[in-house]
Amino acid sequence: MQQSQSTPLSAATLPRPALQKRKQSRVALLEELWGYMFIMPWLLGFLIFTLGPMVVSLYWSFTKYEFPLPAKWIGIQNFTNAFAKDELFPRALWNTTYYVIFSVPLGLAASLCLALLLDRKIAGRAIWRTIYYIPSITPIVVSAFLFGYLFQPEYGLINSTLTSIGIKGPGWFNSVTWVKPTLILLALWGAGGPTMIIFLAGLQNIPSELYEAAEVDGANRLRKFWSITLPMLSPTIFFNLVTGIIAAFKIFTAAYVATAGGPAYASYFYVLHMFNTFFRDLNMGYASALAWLLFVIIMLFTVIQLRFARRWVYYESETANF
Amino acid sequence: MAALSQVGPAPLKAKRKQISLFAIAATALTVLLALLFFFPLYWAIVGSLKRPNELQVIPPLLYPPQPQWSNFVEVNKVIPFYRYLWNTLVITVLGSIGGVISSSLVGYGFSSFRFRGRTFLFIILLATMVLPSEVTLIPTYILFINILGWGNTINPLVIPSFFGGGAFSIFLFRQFFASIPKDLNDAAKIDGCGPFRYYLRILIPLSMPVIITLAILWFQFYWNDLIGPLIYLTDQDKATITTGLLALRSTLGGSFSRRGQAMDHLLMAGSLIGMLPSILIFFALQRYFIRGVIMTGVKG
Repeated sequence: MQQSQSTPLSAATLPRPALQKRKQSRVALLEELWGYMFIMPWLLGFLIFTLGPMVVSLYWSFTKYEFPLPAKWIGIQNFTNAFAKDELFPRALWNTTYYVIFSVPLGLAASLCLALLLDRKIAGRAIWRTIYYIPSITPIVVSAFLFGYLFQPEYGLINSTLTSIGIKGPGWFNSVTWVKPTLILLALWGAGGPTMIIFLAGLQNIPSELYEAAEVDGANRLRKFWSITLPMLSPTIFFNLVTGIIAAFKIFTAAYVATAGGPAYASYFYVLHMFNTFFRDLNMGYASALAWLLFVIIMLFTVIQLRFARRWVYYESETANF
Repeated sequence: MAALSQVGPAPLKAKRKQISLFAIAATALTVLLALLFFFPLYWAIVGSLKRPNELQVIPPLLYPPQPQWSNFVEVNKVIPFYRYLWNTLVITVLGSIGGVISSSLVGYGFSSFRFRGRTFLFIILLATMVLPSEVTLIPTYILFINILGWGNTINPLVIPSFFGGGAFSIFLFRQFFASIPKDLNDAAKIDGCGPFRYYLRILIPLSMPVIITLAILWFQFYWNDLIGPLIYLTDQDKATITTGLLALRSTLGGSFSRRGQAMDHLLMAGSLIGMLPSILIFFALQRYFIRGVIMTGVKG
């Protein structure tokens, strides 16, 4: 307020609203400059490391670009090749779909069970939670090693135990039929990680009055779980489902370390295929096309889930009126 | 009425007994699962203390007959493993610092200043969260290796984190800063505190919990990252824990897919060293781990 006295002479001749407006606009301009200055790191990073590369990789996906030869425009040929010529593409897509279809629901169920076990009055809850959580902070390279030893077909603990009770154990990572289930088991070992914690937070947000009311009505345990816990938890389940599917589609490290895609390409997953095309074959054009296809597939799955969400996800705010 | 009060206590008692049975079963399951989840780690500890060939004994030895603590020194003779630990630490610390600094600055920009296109830019920022990193991987690789000549330096892993530090971190900082009462900013302004000093002296000290939470998330990312070191640090001296463990495995010659070689106990020792920092940090800062996870959940 005091500063307005020291306005330049010319300003005195201006009508008052205009003067204020100009002063305001100067303050606003300064604020705008500060704002841009603070977001500058991200803005530059976005242009250099995200938008630029996106545009470039989209362009490359329409070229034949076998590094270090220059890129040559070939239209949609990379995309048609993926479905018509590349034998490994459908296989990688199938392996990945298999992995997503089994690992995500099983993982969610396991995480939910663990969360339900911990969402009770139980002695030493923090200890159990810690033990459940640790596998998920184990580097995937390490957990792949550990499972490699446990599931080693000849001297591994699992198969020697099975042998001692008269069962011949499968080849696990070495078997075409068992390699994907074994990788799913590896993923399940991490079920007590972030997903479980998010479920636990969701469970603790359910008002206890609902359970009390249901008990008065004589509802049993199963009924309470089915009619209160699951609906109230559905937004949390939905979140974990969407993020879980995206993560599962991108499975790379576990397979790269444990099996390198084998045996006989039985654990050759999508990102593994893309990675080999890019880093081993230096086929940048086709690898870019594969990357964009992955993006499209992930988006497709996400949009479908959002569509179906209305049918089963219960949001309290919608029904808060009654 | 009278009849009801008579029958009342009996079923109640029966129910209480039923509950305790259920509770016992659930507790037993909790403990059993804990054992199951812990077992692979126990197996790693046992394995890392075994002698050559002892990992291949049938039936497996459930404990090391003579714990070989020297394995943790031996492993460094096969491959400079402790240097890889150091390399990883350098990348992790620099990357996390870059992430904290830049995402807090950007979060402050988005939360506290009005500027043209703010909403639009923020929506773009949120949209980048759904973009798989695979899409930008190849052009950034060419940029770092061929244009900037950053092959076998930590630059490609560390420098990008100084440019924003990721959409999620920025989002968290923005939300946190927006929750701080505006009066604080106004009071600081009256005292002649400029935006940058306000950020440094007031906002940063206030946001320590957010910073720790994010630092943990970054630590986990860098510590476990395989693809980054794999493509940018091909020189074996520059390896990190993840690529170092892969190198250790091929040096020992024992891919577990085939019949393992006799030195695999050293791979277990290396694995244990590789995961130890994560576990120590987890125990020290468990509260923040949990907090960070719940924040990611709340976002959705």
